[in-house]
Amino acid sequence: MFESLYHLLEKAALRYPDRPALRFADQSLTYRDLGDRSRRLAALLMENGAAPGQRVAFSFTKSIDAVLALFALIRTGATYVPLDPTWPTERVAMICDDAEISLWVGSRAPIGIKRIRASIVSNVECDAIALSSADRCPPATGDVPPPQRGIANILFTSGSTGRPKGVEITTESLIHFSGWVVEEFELTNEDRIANHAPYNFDLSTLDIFAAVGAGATMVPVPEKLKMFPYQMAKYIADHRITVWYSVPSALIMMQLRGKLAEHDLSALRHILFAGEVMPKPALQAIARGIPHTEYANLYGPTETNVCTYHRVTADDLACDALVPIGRPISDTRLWLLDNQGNARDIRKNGADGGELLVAGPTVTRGYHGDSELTARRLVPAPDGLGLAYRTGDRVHARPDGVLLFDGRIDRMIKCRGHRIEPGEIEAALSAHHAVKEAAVIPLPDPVFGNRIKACIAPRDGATLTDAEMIAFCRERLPTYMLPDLWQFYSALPRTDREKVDLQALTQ
Amino acid sequence: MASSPAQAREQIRSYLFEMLIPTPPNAWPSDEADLFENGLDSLRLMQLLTFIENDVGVRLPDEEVTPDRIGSVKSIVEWISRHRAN
Repeated sequence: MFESLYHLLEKAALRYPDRPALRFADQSLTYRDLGDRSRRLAALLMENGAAPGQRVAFSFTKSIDAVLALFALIRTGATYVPLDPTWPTERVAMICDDAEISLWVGSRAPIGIKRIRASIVSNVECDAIALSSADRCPPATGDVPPPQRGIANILFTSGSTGRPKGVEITTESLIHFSGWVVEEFELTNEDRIANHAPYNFDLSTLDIFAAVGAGATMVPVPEKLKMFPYQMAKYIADHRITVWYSVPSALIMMQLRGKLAEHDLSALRHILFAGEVMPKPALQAIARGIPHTEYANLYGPTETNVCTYHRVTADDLACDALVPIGRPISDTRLWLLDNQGNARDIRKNGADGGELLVAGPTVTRGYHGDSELTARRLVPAPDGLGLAYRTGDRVHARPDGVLLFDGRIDRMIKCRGHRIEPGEIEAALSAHHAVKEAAVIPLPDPVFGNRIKACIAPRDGATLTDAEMIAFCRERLPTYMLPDLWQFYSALPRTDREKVDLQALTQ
Repeated sequence: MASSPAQAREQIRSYLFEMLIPTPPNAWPSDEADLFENGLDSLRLMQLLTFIENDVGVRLPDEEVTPDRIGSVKSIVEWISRHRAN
């Protein structure tokens, strides 16, 4: 095991200095270059306030600069907070406030975010310090020991109260997880690992840290290609990608419109998927299109990174049963909470099912600045060793101990791998002056997991249109949270207990 | 029966800004505007392609679906027209 995330890079730079660490479009960078340049950039970041205990905004689209900045930030010991460059300013400002961020590193300037005191922007047009200026910095003197057990990053996900919540991911979690990935999937410096997920998505930590852990080549997928299944399949072929990791919908899109048979995908050894349920018919179709590859389902909420996994077998592909979420990754302990809230051993009480409880090195330490929510979701582990995370996922075990996902215990929606709290969208809708009441429900979709329907009752005398509401929401919500379907009611239907009848809204 | 270029433009604009990305009529983006900056994402792109095939009546080869061709209403209409000409 590695001692720190930065040591992953230092070791790779020593062992494989001339191997490509990164290939992006027609550019590439060796491990020596990545080590040297990120070390110099770290000096620049430290001059601007990056230090252990500080949180720094990290807002990049896929690029070589992004990976340089990421390792530079890790070297400073600061916690990086990935912010999607397409998120609306209001949401980014809210997160910067909650995370107390004053330094910004990114591919676009922090326009309109008041609390940012310094910014380092990789795009020279932005009239700021270009990342390339780091090349002119003197080499960092002395070895800055990165913290061993700090918070490596904070991933902000949808919050049911209307405010995103920040999941604190420890350095230990990322080191343990990437070490497990390298071993389980036998990654080597010959591998080329695609990075499809955005940096604010926990999936990207596999692509980056497992790649560096193995001395493999990271191959980020350009943002715009991700919407184009044929171009994406071509990118996999052109770059001879050996490991692909994404949400199921990206794979399903490639199967439907990527003309898989036209591409030479023979280098692909592993296809890993996570983030939402992969429909079995879709997996069967993908496996017919790319038959020589091994498939694995990785499971885990952001709070646990990956905590269980299942290697797909020929038997799995031959039957219609759900793709299992499998067994725990190394050093991870699991229990089921029954209806009375008692923790049960999965091996003994698996068939009864219950809420999955997870303890182990990949589990979060908590939500940034929210001790109340942390205390509700992180409870003493039943074996007395530290804390366990209540996933909110209902699961049950087959007789052989392999776990199957049964759904949520709450209203969380999965859409293209994004987790969406209906409460966050409802809060945005309710902020409109003419909305009396709003509810959001999922409508299942065979490719994208779910589509989102907004149900709105305007205030008396007010008229609202979907166009007006979507324009209003775009100022407040990321694109993936914008409702796809809109329906207006004089009043939302009620259950006998006077609650909004969500079931009736699906009609 | 495939639509004429003028019809195709109207159909695509209506579908985009009334159905996919509902937009107040006075705020519809121009034909040259970047659709990706105006809310077109992977889910909506898949729906748009299905609409072009079923309602505009032009089957566009998957390999030709690129950011250049799908980036604006103008580029989509030109692409459709070229297809019909072939």
